[in-house]
Formats: sequence, structure tokens, C-alpha cells
Amino acid sequence: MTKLSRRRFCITGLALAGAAPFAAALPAAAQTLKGGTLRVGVLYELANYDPQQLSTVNFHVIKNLYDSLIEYTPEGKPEPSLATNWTIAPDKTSVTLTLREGVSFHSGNPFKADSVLATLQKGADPKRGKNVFSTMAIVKDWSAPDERTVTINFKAPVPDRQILDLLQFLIPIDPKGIDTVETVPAGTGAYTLVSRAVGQGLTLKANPKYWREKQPLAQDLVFTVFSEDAAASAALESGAVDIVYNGSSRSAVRLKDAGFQVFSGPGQLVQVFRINSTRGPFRNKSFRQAFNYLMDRASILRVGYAGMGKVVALPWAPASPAFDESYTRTYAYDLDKAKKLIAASGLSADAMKGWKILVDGSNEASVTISQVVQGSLAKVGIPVELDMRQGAEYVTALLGGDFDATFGAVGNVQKFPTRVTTNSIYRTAGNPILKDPHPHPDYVAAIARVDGAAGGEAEVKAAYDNLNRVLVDEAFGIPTNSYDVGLIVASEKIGGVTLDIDNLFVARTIGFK
Amino acid sequence: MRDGLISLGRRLLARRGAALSLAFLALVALAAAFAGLLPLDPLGQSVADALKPPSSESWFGTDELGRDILARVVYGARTSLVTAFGAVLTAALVGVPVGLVAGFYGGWRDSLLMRCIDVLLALPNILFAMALIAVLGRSQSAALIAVGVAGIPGFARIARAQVMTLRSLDFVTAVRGFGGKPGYIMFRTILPNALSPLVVQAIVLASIAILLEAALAFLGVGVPPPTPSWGEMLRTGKSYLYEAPSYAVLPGLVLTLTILSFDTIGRALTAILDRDETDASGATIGGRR
Amino acid sequence: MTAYVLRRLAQMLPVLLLASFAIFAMIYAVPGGPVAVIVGENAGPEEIAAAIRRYGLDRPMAVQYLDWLGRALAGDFGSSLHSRQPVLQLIGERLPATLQLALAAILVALAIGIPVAIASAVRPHSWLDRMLSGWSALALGVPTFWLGILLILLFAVELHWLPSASRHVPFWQAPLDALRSLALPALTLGVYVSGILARFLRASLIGEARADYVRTARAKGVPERRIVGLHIMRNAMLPFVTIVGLMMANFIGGAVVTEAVFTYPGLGRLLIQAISTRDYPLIQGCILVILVAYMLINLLVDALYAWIDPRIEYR
Repeated sequence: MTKLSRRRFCITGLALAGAAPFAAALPAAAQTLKGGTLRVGVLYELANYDPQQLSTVNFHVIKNLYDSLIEYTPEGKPEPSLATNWTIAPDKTSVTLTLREGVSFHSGNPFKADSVLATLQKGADPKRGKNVFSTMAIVKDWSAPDERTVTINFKAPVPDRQILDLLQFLIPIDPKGIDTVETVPAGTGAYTLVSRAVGQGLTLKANPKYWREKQPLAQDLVFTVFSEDAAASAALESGAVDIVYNGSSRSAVRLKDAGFQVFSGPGQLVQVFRINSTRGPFRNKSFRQAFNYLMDRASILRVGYAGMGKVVALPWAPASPAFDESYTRTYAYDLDKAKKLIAASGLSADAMKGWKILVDGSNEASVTISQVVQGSLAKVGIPVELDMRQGAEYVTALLGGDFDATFGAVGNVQKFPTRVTTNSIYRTAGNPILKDPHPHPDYVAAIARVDGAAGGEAEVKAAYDNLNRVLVDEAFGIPTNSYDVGLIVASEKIGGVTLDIDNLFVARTIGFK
Repeated sequence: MRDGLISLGRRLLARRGAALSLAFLALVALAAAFAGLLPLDPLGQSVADALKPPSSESWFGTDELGRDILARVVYGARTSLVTAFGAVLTAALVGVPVGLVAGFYGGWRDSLLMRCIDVLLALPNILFAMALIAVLGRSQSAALIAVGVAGIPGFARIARAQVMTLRSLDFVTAVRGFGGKPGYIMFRTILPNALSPLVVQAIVLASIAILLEAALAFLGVGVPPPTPSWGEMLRTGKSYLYEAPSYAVLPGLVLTLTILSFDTIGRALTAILDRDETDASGATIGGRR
Repeated sequence: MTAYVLRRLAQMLPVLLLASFAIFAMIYAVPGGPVAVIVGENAGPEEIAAAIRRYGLDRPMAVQYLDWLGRALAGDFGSSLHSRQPVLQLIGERLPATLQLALAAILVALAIGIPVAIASAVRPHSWLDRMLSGWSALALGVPTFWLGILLILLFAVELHWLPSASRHVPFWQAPLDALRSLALPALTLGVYVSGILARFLRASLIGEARADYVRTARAKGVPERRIVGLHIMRNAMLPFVTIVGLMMANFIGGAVVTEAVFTYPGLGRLLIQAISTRDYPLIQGCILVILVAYMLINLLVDALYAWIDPRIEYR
């Protein structure tokens, strides 16, 4: 038993190390699928129904209750959704949308330009805009010449990709229900809310007036909340649910082995070793740069994420336009190079220690990978302790920037590169860790250059390359690997899984074989 | 007094279970004390060799970071025994005086102190320990204090019962007659004569302390990694049940044997002391424990 | 009897009041607040300040306590800072799960403990007795989390008979599912308690067997089965009821380790989650419910005493 299972584990690990592992089973045979009741196990309690609060805990419902203006294919190609057409002005300072006809909200209210305007207004409001607010920074104003047309004007020329990201991010909300959207969903989506039992789950049913033809397939959609990964996996194995959404990579590897289907989307997160460059030895640039080589990325990916993902030295998911494989090779794990940079820092042995790695004790992966880094540091003669905090205590320290160094995943890294600044460590202004004024002006300038690169492909590429070079040079965030969020593990009788660019859960195409 | 303890030890060794337990504990304690001399590295990682089953190179296999589980079990004994010892000491240092004062004076002091002890008893001690660690932050000393506080009621109750029995006996009243101060009477006259049951309590508590420390680590609030701890190994091992079943099994076995050994010795001592009492009073004391 | 019960109930109030204040004080000593978790990692300072105001966390501790106490006395324990659901509702969802597990564990413990105790008490110090005592020691010494892991390895990983993680299925809704889910945690907890019960019952059985009335009964030629079944058992049951009651009380919040092994959604784990996210009202509610349950069960045990043994008087 022992031997067998170990070998099985290694083989799976190897198989997963190959590229594009699970993308094969896309909705090819949608017609042959049957409807029914789709039971989905999720690991997080939903926070609210506001589609502008795009946090992981809401991922399982947003794309089922709402539709975006446009969608991306998993490869990042834009597709019409509630907007049937979009035209970017030649000077790249505005975009004009044509809205779909014959769509209505769950309330019966018809979908028209007014709802897009209301949604833009909410997004641009610092109090109500939530996650959309920072994306709206490029927007100057908007207007609706008629009921089916909306024009959005920008403050300056904006790169195409950034405009598309904005449209994909905008989810029209029913103007009638926009003030109560946190508690009552107000969308056009394929499903409508039936009931919710907090802490236990949520029941949705098919929207009979849904605009996409022959969708949704399943008439009922039942979400059950599990407090732990192991419990959700056990429920899937015992047939109590058909799908587990957003479980751990480790469980996915094991369940795939046991005959379940695993689907991983393009919206990966990147794990980043965040360095507080305002503190102690980290004020020294050469010392920070040593960490580029100190990360045993292959080990981190293997022990933390069962090998699912990619090692990276830059904060981009493989789907990002700025993704550059060559950096991963240049900054591979190399203790000798690290030692040289540490020596070059001119810091005394005493000055180099005395700091701690802050660790989220409730996150198994981060406990393990922090120990890997601790081990590597010990090998170059820097003994550090782990500062283990649980739950709220960890988030408080993270939020206040009250740490020397810590692992933390960053999101929005498969889209327009400057979206990385939505993550606290990469923020260019009001950064809670690095504070104001930003201690790395080169980085702030590099981000601004990417934002302003509205010209040809060469200009955009040069701006990306510059940003990448500055990121490893300033070295206040050391990315280690990309990994999957929103993994879908499904029983073999499930078919028609659609992968979302953000790895949100899309139920409307899923049916039973 | 010393003679009493030596004869107690001799009678203990005469019991097979207790002797075996003592031998096992001695082994664990020696390994913990001289772990540095053994060719074992509890921290050395080798991710390529992660989660290997037991083999001739690593008898207990390796963990998720490729560290030697046997080495971690041996060094984990250090964590476990040090925490248990410190916890018992803490519990005794607080619990015994509380019990002595409560029993010696009686009245409002007794009521007040014992109500506090009751509150300690009403909350499951694992929850209380977790709350305490939340306040103190996660560290070995926090685990030690949290486990120690859980042991206070036991010591307090036994010390109190002993004082109440002893305080009216002739030799105590005699000291009082000579003008002995309460402090002197409590700590110099009564305490030495109440030592045996307290020693038994200490040993019983040691087994509970080891269990509680491991439970806290299992719940993820024990001694922070990478310091090896048996409970932490069980916690991590539990998430690798499919890949490496022996990971959680072997450290658990050593933990269980250690707890059982302390418990066996504690029960043997109780039996010996009970028989002494039975001999002295001529009555059967049933259901004492 | 009624007067006694009423007085005992009245005595509970000051203890609860004291405890609630102690919990409040303790919560404020704990580093880290609930706000960080509510607003999330990427929140700005204005959002944090707004959340602090919204939940009234900027008021002095004494004011917050009195405010809470006033509402609590009116039966309103507030809402969880996270899910915004009433605390009592959240607890009410977990309590049935906890009680179901506690009950199942006690049943397992009785099924193992009583036969073991009787078998060893019939001939004290025989080889059978020694062997069964060994069982009790083992049952008590094996940490529940290790036993749980062993059971999962055997029944879930190897044999695939039972799920490796449990959920709460109300017994009257789906008895078979409920049993499958409960089997391993109940066995784990039950084995542990069976050790306590067996030790305890054996001692009191042996004690009673030597009592005068038993000798008298034997002398009068009462059949041995009747002596054991009627006289000895009845009297030995007394302390036994206490132990079973205490165990029940302990399980209300104290089965956290077993709950953690099997990811069982009990009250103890709710409390641990609440502590971890600093969900103040929920922490208060959970601890008070655990205390009240503990005290009520103790009272119930004492009342049961009187029912079993009318000789006991309550003053």
C-alpha cells in the first residue's frame, strides 16, 4: 500500500508538471448533456451578492446571477456578452458599446443603457465601487446617446487590453436594486436566487427568461458550504455533491487519481514572498536581490501546491501579456549567487538576522513553503524564526504592513499588467506596507509607463520589459509560483464545464452525461 | 521523607507494568536529553525525498519537506517533555498554595478561591488553553502556561483536602501551640507530610500535560514550526494520509506510549498509597479514582 | 426539590455574569481585531475606520460590555460580525450536531464500558480483570486525534467503507447517512469515555459488592443474578450517572479535537473559528452556551440522583 500510493503520487506529480494539464475537456458535446439538480460543494461562505465585490468567497455565485458586458475566452480573446459590439476610438480615449436587446433583469426590468450608467456610477464611487473602483481610475466620464448605446471616455489614451479588461470587469446591475445589491441579487444571470441558509448553503434555480439559448442546462443549482477541504472531498467521493469548487490543489491531484475530473482555468494566483523594504536589512537592495535566487521554487510548488502551477520569478500568471519565461531561468534557485549578493550587501551577520517571516498559521500551504524558505536561509547562514499567527491576527498584521516578510498570493495577474497594483504589496500609492512616499520610484514610474503605452506593439512590449526588469531589480516582492484558485473537481458524469478568465464558477453550460 | 520516597520507588519497580513504563520513559528522556549526540537532523530538508516510507536510511520515513521523521520524533520528545515538566511545575506552584490557603483558613478565603477553581473546571480545558494562547501569542512558553493553568485545579483540590485532614492532627496543633506562624505551619509542617499524593498528582498531570500539549499542536496553536512537536507531526501527517500513511502513525505511537507510561506509573503509585491508607485505617476505600 | 432546583438556577446567574465579563475582558486583551478580516487585505484606511465605527468598536470597553449585557438580558445576543447572522441562530445550527455526536459517543461508551466493568468486577484481580483494566488504560491513554487518524486510515483510506470527513446529518432525516457520518467520530470519543466509565463502574461495583446489604442478601439466599442486577447495579449507578453527565457536559464544547479530526461541524469548532476571526459576539455566545449547558447538565445529574436514590436529601 505504502509503496504503491507513493509511486502513484510521484507519477501524478510528474504528469502535472507538464504544460496545460486539464484544458482538454471543454464543452464540446453540450447537446448530449442532460439537466437536473447540480450539487456543488464550496469552501467559503458567500459574503454578499454585490458583483463589484469580486472576492474569492463570492466567486461561486457572481457569474451565475449576473453577466458581464463582455467575456474572455480562456485564451484571453474578447467575446460579446451583454454588449454585442464595442468600438475603441482611433485615439484610444473612448469606447462605444452596443447593448444586447431582449434581455431583462430577474426583477423583470428590461436591460438598457441606464443600468450600465448606474453600474459605472457605483464603480466610480470610492465608497460603493469596491474592487471595481481602482479599475475606474482611467475613466473620465460616460454618456448614453440612446437606450442601446453607451460611450465611456478616458482621461488619456488607454491601451486596448486595459479597455477590454474594464468591460469584462463591468457587470450590469439592475438600477432598481442597486442600493440593496449586497443582500438581494439584481442581475440578468442564468440563475435566480431561491433561498439561502447562512453557513450552510444556497439554492438557485434556472432563469426561464435567460437570453442565452438552451442555457442553463441544470434546472436547479445547490451550493453547500464545507468548512474544510477534506470534508468537501469526502462529500464528492461519497456522491453527496457532484462538483467541488475551489478546493486545494493537493486534493485535486488525489481525486484526479481516484477517477474524478479536474478543470483548472487561466485565472491563476501568484504566490509572492513579500518583503517590507522599509525595515532592517531589507532596506539594502543587494540583500533583497539575493532573495531572487534564494527561493527554491520547484520545492515550493511541489510541497505547497502538489506541483499544480508553474514556477515564476515575475508576478504574472502564464496567461498574462507580460509573462516572460526567461526570467524564471535567469532567477532559478542558486545559493551561490545568493551568497554573492549577500556579501555584496556589506551587511554584518548581525544586521542580517533578527527578522521574522510572518506566517498565516491557518493556511497549510503557507506554513509549509515558509519552512522551505527558512531552510534555504539557514543554508546561507541567516537563521530566522517563523512568526505564526492565526486568522484575524494574521490579516491585521498583513493589513497594517506590520511584518518583515511574508508569503501572500496576488491576483489579477492574468490581465493587463498594471492590474497587479490592486494587490497591497504592489500598490503604487497608499501602499500599507511600503507607505508613502513609495520607496521604489523606479517601480512607480515603470507602472506609469505601462499605463501610458497606448501606441504600437513595440512600445507596449518595451514598457512590459522595463517593468519586469524593475521588478526583479527592486526585489520587494519575490514571486515563486503560480497556482490554481477556483479549481473544479467533478464526478465523471458531469460535462460541459466552462472555464472563466477569472476562474469564477460558471454553471450554465454544465450538465449530466 | 526521603526514605519514604525511596521505598515508594522500590515498590513501584516491583510492578511489571510500572517498571516497563519507567524504562520506556527513561529511554525517551535520554533520547531527548542527548539528541544532539545522535546522528539525527530534525531540520534538514530535502524536498526530493519527501514523504518516503520507512526504510533502512530513515526508520520512520520522511515528512513533506523530506525531513527525517525519526529525528523529529526524538527532538519532539524534548518539546513534549520540557512543556509537560514546565506545565506541571507551573500548576504546582500556583495550585498548591491556593489549596493550602483555602484549606488552612477555610471561610471566605476558601469559598472565593474554590469558586475560581470551579470556573476553571467548568470550561473544557482545551478551550481555555486555546483562548490563553490567543492572548499570549503562539510560542513554547505560551503552550507551557496554557497547559499549566489547566493543571491548577487538581493540585489545589488535593492540597486543600490534605490540609483539612492534617490541620487538626496533633503535630500540627503542637506547632501552632508553640506559636508557629500560619506560613510556617502550611509550608514547613503540613506540606512535607502531604507530599506523596502531590507527587502522584504531578505524575498523573504529566500524562495529561503531554496529551494536552499534543492536542494544542494538533489544533495548530502549539509550539511554532519548524520546532518538532509530536502533535504538530500528527496534524501535518493527517493531511498526507493517502500519500504517506506511516507519517501520522509512528509519531502517534510514541506519543501514546509516553502518555500510557505516565498513566501506568501514576496508577501504580495511587494503588500503593491506597494500600498504605487501607492498612492504616483498616477500611476499604473503593472508587477513589 | 422544586425549591432546590430554583435555588440552584438562581446561583447560576452570578457565575454567568462573572464569566461574561471575564470573557469580554479577555477578548480585548487578545491582539488583532475583527475588522481586518471583515474589510479584507486590500482595504484602505477609510474603509477600516468606517467598519470600526459601524460595529461600535471605537467605544470604551465598559460601554460595549454594558450595551451587550443589556441586550443579552433581553434575549438578544447580537449578530456575528462576519456572517451578520444572529448569534443564537448560528449556535442553534451547531448545537444539534454537537448533541447528536455526544449522545452517540455516550452510547458507544456505555456499550463498551458496562460489559467491561461487570466482567472485571465479578472476579477482581483475575487475569480477565487485569486484561480489561489494560483496555481502560489504553482507551484513556490513546489520544483521540491519533485514534481518529488510525480509524480514518483503516475505514476510509484502506477499506473505503466510511467517509474520511463527517458532516452533520440529522438522524431522523436520514438515519443511515447519519450513522455513516457519525460512526467514526462517535467511536473515537466513545472509546475514550468507555475507559473512564469502565474504571469507575468497576471500582464502585467492587465497593458495593462488599457492602453489608449484599452480604445479608447472600446469606438470605437471594440468587446472585438478582443481587448483582438489582442491588449492586442500582447503587453503583449513582456515581456512574455523575460521570456520564459530566462527560455529556464536557462534550458540548470540549470535543473540539475529535471535531477537528473528522471536520465535524460542532459547537467547539464554531467557537474556535470565532476566536480565530475575533468575532466578538459569537465568542461570547458560544462560551456562555457551553457554560450554561455545563451547569444545567450538572443540575440535571443532581436531580437524577434524588430520583434514583430517594435517601439523598436536598437542603
